[in-house]
Amino acid sequence: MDPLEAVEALARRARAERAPQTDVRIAAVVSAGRREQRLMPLAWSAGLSAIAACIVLALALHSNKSTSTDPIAPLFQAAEVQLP
Amino acid sequence: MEYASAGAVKTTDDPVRGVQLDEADGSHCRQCAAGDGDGCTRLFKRHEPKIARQMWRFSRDRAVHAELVQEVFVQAYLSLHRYRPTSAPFEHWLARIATRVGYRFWKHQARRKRTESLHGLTLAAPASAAGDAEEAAQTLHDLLAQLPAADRLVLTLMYFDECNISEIAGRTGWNQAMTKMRLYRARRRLRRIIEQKNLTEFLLGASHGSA
Repeated sequence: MDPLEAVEALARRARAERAPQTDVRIAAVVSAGRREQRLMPLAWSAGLSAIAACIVLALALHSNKSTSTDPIAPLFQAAEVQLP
Repeated sequence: MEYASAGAVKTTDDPVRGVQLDEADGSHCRQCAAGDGDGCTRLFKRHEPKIARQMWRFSRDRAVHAELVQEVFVQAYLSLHRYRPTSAPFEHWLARIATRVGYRFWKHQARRKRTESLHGLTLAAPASAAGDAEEAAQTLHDLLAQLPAADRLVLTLMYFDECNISEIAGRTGWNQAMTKMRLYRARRRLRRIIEQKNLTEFLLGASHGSA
């Protein structure tokens, strides 16, 4: 006999089992509330860090645009001198 | 069963997506998302029997089982703002969370201990039909515990919850091709274990009540 057929037969019987009932809904709501409170400062600090990073990035881009000379330009100039 | 009677509440059909929306769930979800603890309690009460049944597949230790059920509801509460009633009934959404919680538990358990021994594989005569079912479930649980967590999950969903490939894919978040492949490999591994340990006769005995 195919071993998996034996497992199928076992599963048919196993499905008739009644699982134990639990009563955790109130504990779950309390626990979720506590966990949410613990996560709140973390979310705030993550949000503030993201805002700070955006400001720094914007400032960096702005200062880069306002720079009149290209920082890599001297390198190309040197290369042109070398070439005939 | 409490859940079955709770399921008899008024529902509406979303004609676009073919999703059956449960108005009571929708209303409780809104209350819960607004921070109403009573709304959450009512919502969880409706679904607790089914989730308890589902999590019993993941651990047969009563204390761990209760913790897993609680963890499902905590996760549901924390991610309720992401739930879209038009995309899936609340029951299906919760079943996905339960599957994820159970799978994570198994992976955590596997890290501590690679495999569990096949305890309780004795042909003790059960006392009643209910005892038969319990012993069969225990045997199947122990047998599937010999497999890696992913294989164990697909076979648990298939054998205990009678899920087909698309339902398993929906619960696990894997695509159907991957699910099909995992199911194929899991069945092959299970067959090998049964043959190596010569368990076919024993399983047949357990499935007929070990009389």
